Amino acid sequence: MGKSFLSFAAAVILQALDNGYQYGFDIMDVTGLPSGTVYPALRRLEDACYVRSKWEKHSIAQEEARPPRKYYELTREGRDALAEARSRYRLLEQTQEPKTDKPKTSRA
Amino acid sequence: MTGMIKPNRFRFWLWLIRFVGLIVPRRLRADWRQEWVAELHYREALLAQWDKLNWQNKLDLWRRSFGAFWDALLLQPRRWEDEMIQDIRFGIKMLFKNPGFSAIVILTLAFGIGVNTALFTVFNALVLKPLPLKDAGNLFEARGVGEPGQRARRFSFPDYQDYVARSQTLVGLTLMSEMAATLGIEHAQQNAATGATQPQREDFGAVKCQLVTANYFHLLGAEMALGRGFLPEEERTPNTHPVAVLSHYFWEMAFKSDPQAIGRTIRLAGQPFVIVGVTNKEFIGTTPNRPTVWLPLMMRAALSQTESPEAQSWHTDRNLDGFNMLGRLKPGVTVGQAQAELSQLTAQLAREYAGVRHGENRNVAVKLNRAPGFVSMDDDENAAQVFLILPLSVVLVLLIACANVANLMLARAARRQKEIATRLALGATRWRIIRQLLTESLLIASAGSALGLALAWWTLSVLYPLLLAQFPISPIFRASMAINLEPDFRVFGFTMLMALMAGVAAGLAPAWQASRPNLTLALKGEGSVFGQHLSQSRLRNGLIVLQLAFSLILLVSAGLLARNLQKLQTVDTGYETARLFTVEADLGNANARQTETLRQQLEARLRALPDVQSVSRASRMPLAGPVAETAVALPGQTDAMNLLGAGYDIVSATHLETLGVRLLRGRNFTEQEANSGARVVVVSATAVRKLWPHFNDPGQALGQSIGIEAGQEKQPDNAATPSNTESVAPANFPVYQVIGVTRDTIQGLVIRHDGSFLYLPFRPGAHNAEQLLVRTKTDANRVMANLPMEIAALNPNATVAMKATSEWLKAQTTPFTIAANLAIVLGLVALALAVIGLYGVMSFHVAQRTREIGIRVALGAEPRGIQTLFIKQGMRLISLGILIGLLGGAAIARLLASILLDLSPFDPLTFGGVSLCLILVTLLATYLPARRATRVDPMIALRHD
Repeated sequence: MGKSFLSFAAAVILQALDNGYQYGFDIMDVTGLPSGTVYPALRRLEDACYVRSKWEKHSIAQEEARPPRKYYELTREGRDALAEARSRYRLLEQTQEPKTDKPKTSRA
Repeated sequence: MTGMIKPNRFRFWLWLIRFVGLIVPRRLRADWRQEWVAELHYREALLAQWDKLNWQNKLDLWRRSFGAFWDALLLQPRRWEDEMIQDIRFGIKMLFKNPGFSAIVILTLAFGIGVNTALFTVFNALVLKPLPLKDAGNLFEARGVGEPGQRARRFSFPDYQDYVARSQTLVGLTLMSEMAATLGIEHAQQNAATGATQPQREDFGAVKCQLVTANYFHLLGAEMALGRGFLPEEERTPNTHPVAVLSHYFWEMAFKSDPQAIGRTIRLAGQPFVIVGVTNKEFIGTTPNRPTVWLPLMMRAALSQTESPEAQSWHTDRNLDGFNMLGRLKPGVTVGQAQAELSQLTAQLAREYAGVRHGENRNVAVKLNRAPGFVSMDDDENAAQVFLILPLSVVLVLLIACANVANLMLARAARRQKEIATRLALGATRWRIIRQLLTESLLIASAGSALGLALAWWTLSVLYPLLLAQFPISPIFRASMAINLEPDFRVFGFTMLMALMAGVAAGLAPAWQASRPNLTLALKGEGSVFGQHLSQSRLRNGLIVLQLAFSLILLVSAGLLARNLQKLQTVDTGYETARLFTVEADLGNANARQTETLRQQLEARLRALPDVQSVSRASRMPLAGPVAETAVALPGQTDAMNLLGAGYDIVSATHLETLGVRLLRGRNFTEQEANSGARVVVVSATAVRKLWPHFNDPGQALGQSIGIEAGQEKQPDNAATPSNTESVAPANFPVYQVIGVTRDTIQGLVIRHDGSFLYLPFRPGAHNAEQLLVRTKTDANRVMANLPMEIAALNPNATVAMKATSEWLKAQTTPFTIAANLAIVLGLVALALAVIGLYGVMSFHVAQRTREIGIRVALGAEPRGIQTLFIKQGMRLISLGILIGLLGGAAIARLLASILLDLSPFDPLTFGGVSLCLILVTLLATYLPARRATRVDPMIALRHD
């Protein structure tokens, strides 16, 4: 993935992360992209240092009796790349709303 | 949300993640699984919280977990990256751990790959590299296609004009022809004493001129360093525009890159030509030896050696079809379209000029060859066969190198058995071990090929000029031969391919073998006792046999070439060449009469020189390339197909004396006979034997009559003249009477001579015997040094070419010297590799069987018996190798047959000598380890691990 040219899908994913969705399935929901696109894209973005991933603290997971989660967040480069992408894809920001705790899935 | 999801409940999506996780690289697997499981848990929990965990959403969840499969799939390259880097890192570590071993195998492969790369670089430069022309991609060389069974013709000037006028598919066509001409320039030199300028002659001998149509430079996209190309008006009328474009290298050489060269005059064949341009350095024309000058095609007659009507009528006669044609396609036109159009035009022209053309031999179509490299292999099958031996030899060298390295790797793998067994025991798969070992051998091969490439480049840049310098050719000719040997992407690609193949060839078998050790034994360090590794030693033995066989093949060809060279160098030409040279003085075709006068004056002048013993005239230089042949008919012979061919020369009465050829029977012709045009001929002994096989004594031939085709008042043409041989019935051949028989001589190519030769008398005025043959009393060079001045005194306009006859002989033997030396070097290196390999294998056998030997000795075996045991084992390998090698050698020797001089390709001396040499050296290589075996101390050996 070239530093200055993000695909639209990648830009949408960055925008989603910027809006506070830091979890694979949330990103799929808000962007409508399939998981076969979102995950590989996240890995590529991580390789390109636009995104960094963080494991949730074990103690939290244990408390809730579930495996620890992996969260994704934007890096500074990612933010810059997103700003650049926004200037190219004008409607990017309007494609999604910031995260709330409401269910978003239309398939529900 | 706690407790909402029971952890032990079967959920298909989680199971799926676990399953898909199997293909994720191990390093990432745990993280990957955890991330996906957490994701699905989270989603499930959310859905449950929203109270929407219905079957629809469960299905959706299931569907989405399939995305994990794509995710896992896209992570696959990382697995390779990881393991590859691991392999490479480990491989490099192993290389440094064993620097001696690494150096040997890398050098071995570097040599093998180096010779292959060097040869490929030359092949690439001559054949594959496109011509350095602008848009070479749509330039095409046109070739005639003859009727079935007929020789294809090239093109005539009128045909060319018609193609140009009628073709729709081409941007342009250019017509070319090559001729040799003597070249001289005049330098104005300031006289230091008087201050007056005096012309100073500089002669360059015969150079290559290319005669081209005016659009040539423009069509090929040539740029000019100075001046201009040819103008359209320079193509309109014959013999009116004596202008010339110089090749860049000649301008550098003769004019020291002087920009004032434009407008100055050069003399070609005695004719003045005004320099109008100098080509760019990059432009080298379309042939490997670059032309020295380019001239307008219309000036062709000026360079013609002969005054025949053909020389004048070339631009109107459709039968003079000896020109080459090159064309450029219009954009968007395919080769097929252009070819079809030109073929159609050819057929059209054949119909229109059916009456004009001579009989059977004409083109029926045109084929377009992409103007690729310089050389298109065709015509001479013998030559192609001989050249086949080069790639074969270097491939053999590489195979030997690979076999050698494979053997070394096998030995090393045996030493590493413990390591490999440990890895296998710890759960490494066999495939993983093979990959590791292959990576190591590929690393070695890459290092070897990098070194080999450097080696090839260096050798070529040093060796090629050195080889060129071996040839007795003029500096200008040498400069014209410079080919571009810079490696390009093809060479790099080739070397990489070689590295890959060599790496796999040398590493696969050892890796295969090494990756299946008997774990228990290997871990206990007992893997190499009591012949546990029969299959492994079988592989090693096989490799050694191949090495011995291959090196024997190389040695056989080296031996044949060396024997052949020896024969060539001591060949008896039938006359002494040391004090003999030829002079050609030319004033051009337009001044044929003056030229003839000049030659006569020069002949007289030379005779008067104190150092000159004898002078004669001849139509060709002895030993300069193949002889001209003529058909000879016995009285009453009418069948044109079965005539005897014989070499001939048209010579003056003093020729035999000058050449120093002994008369066996009869007499030579006199000057009076020659001047009066008497039909008498002196023939060689072999010619007599061939014409009259039943004669017991050559003297019986005296007084016999023979018809000689070349005796017609027709000129021996030079090769560049369009071919137009109208055959005359044998009954109409001029009839000559044999008056003398000489001993056999070699006048043409040493390796193709057959001895039958005719000396026809030269009649001044009727024939052009352009060459003056001079025999000197002392050193020929001294006479040659002063000659240009003498000639300039006779006629300042004349251009001169001189050549010592011994140089022609040397020029003929030089390629064989080079070939023999190369073959010997290759053969010896191959032998050395094979012998070292054999020594290594025998030593290995001895080491492997140390304990066995100890037991044998302890049981009372004699040292001699043990030595014999090993020597016998070695002999088995050697004899098998020699057997295969001799068969291969015989096969390769047949390729050489056409260049062998009085030598059978199965020359017993060569085959026997080479085999004997191989046996001696290899016996030594087995004797030394075998002797070591006898020194085994049973006490130590039995305690041996």
